[in-house]
Amino acid sequence: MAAAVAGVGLSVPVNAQDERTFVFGTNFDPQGGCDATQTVVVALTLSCPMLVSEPLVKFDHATNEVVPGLAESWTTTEDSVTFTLREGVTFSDGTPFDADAAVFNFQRVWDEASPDHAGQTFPYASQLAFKGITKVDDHTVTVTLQAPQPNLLWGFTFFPAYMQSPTAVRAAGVGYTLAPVGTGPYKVDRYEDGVRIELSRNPSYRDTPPQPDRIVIDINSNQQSLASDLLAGNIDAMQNPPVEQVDAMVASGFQVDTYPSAISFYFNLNTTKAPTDDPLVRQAMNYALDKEGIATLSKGAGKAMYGAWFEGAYAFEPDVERYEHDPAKAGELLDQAGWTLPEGGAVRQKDGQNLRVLLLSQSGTAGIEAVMTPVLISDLQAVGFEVESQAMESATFISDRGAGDPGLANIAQFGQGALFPDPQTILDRMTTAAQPPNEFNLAFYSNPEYDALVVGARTELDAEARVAALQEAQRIVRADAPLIWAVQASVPIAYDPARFESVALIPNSIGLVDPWGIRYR
Amino acid sequence: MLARRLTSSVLVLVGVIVSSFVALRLVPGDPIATMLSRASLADPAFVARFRAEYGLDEPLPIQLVAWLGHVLTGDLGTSIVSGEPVAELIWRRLLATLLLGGAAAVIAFPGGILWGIAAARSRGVLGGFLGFQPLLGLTIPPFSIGLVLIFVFAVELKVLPSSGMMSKLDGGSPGDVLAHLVLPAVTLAIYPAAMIARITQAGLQEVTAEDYVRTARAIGIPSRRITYRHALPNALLPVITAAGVLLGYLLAGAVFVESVFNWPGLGTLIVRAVLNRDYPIVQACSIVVAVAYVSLSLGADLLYMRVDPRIRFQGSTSP
Repeated sequence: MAAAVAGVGLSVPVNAQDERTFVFGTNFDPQGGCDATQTVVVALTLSCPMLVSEPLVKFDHATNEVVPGLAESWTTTEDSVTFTLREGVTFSDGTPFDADAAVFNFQRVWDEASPDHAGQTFPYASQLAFKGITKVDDHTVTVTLQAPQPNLLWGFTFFPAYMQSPTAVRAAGVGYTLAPVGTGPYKVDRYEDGVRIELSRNPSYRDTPPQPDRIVIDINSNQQSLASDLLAGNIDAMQNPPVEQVDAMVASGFQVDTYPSAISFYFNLNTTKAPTDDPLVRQAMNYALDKEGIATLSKGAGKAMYGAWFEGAYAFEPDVERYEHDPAKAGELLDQAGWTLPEGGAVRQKDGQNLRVLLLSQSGTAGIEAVMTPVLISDLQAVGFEVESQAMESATFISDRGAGDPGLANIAQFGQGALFPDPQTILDRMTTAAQPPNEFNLAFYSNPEYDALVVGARTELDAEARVAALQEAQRIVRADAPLIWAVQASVPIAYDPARFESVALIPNSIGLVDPWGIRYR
Repeated sequence: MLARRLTSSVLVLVGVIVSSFVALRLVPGDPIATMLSRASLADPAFVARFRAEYGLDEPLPIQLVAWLGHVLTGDLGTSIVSGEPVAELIWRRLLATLLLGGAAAVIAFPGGILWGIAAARSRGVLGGFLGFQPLLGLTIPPFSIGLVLIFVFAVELKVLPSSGMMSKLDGGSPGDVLAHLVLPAVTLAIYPAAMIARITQAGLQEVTAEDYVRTARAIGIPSRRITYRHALPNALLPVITAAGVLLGYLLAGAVFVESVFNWPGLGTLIVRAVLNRDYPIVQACSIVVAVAYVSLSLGADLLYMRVDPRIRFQGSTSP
């Protein structure tokens, strides 16, 4: 057959990979592409901005430390940082990286008075409370922040602070996003939005580069089609292979590794709508869900989660009862709340009303997210709930006609990633201010005591006092149970072990591939 | 007649342009919230600035008028998600879809006609088999056919690529694109080919019962000559009528097939833009698809008028 096809003049590209070209398939749309200052979706993609550009300081997920990037050292005060920049570094277009380039980058993203800022919006700029930047000498800059804050350096490790070539930005104008230029190990050769991104080595990269000479990010929203591509040898690796295909992939000789991530999946419980406005009902739902069952069904793509923050992580509060799977306890709590099982009935009732809940989920989910909802429905039914379930496409789901409507549903499935190993990033999202339409506190949870602790922790400089506040907030939110915490995702990645020693993710990140962890045999 | 068809075509286009704009705004969800729900953070100040930048904070009628003004001057705007000019994006994707649709048409029209002739001329078990096949082609969803083809030819036999328009590495040569074109084009062609086969078969069977065919047979003209020379041209008239709609299907049906094969055409662009609520892209695509449908339908009518003088005659004498 191959001969017949070749006979009619077709060039068949199967298994024609270059030895050193890494083709990565992703079903996530890396919105904003490779331009770190415009990137929106970075989780579960190859994170192109990190291949192309670098910040002054980087966050090391293995040690939870801030490590040198384009700055070789730094000194801090309560509200400022003075960076000593590496010398001899150039952007991939030959522009030197120096204090002028750093000043340009900070002013472009944060200084509204700067002509380079005009007419642009930067999605994650709020991560750094920037006040001003001063050039001390050709290789030293001082950045001042609006107020003292804990973890002062973290904001500098995030995408808006990745350095871009001033020459390239000025030349490309608003089209810069399509052809970003940085100091990272790769440069963008071709960017086709929503289709593919091609990168090759940046010859002026100063450090040991990752092994692939070229990288192709193949964007394909159809996960089944990506799995076929992997099986057919058209791509080298994919994240989140469809759960139902994992066994077949392993049987065909593919390797599927999983890495713990800082992504959690959960169910919001609407605290303003009956019957989930009753904390006893919400606690019962937490006990009803078999979280270990979800982890098992997802073939290792998640680990059961019993509270608001990841177990064992920084400032985790261990001293509270876990919401372990306990249908009997769920039943007791529901009895206590007045929802009792009528003789011979399967659905609990109170005052002649059924214990009925409406559950909203997003359609088109894959992996562990697709497994969670059916498990919850069956577990809630087992303890006497009547569950109606509706799946909506994501834009409708988060709108005020979906989970953003406090009067509509009782349960809304959602997920989030913690950018830094600090519970603040997660706890912030359950504050009153984070309710829709501002953010995605889809439980409409509001507790002034909790708000005060979480908001206070944002500016608390005393580490011990801050941890105490964050732990107390975890105790409060766990008792109030505005969420059913379900799983901490373990992100699977599938690849051919005959070609690769490893294709590794950065553990505890938001599912980011470690380019240096791509190792050929 | 022609003037009336042109006027109705323009009205259809205006209707599509306005209704697609309004319908999109009535659907819950907006681009910025959708974008941020997928990100890990939200920043109310950024949201407000972003909405202002794209005029999303203006009342609907003002947004509509502003957009119509831009469209009339040839400015389709920029993508909210990528910032790329919509016209460039659509042009690139349209070429990919036209290639796929064109290849499918090349397979579907001759293939469907030959299929229909074979079914009409065959008798017994073979005739029954050939007559039944188009029903399968009409009822099996194209994406299922696509998945089966991928499994057989890409995953198992590894003789054709499974997705995309060119190889992931150094692709883009004519042979490479052709190899990538085979499976999606065949998948997309099956439904229209089956439809044409049914129409051709039914037309031939109907025409065969006509007096002039019986006469031809009576005076000893060979059966093959009767079919191809006398019966077929008349039997194909309904195919021409259906052609406009079927060509339109090749454009719109490509949405499913492009998704299955990750073909970087208009279909995958529309799906992605709708999910992201990328208004400028969805609106511009609606215009492109509407213009294509209307032109193809108009073209088929004109062709029909040319082939069948009765239509022309009726048209010119009708009030």
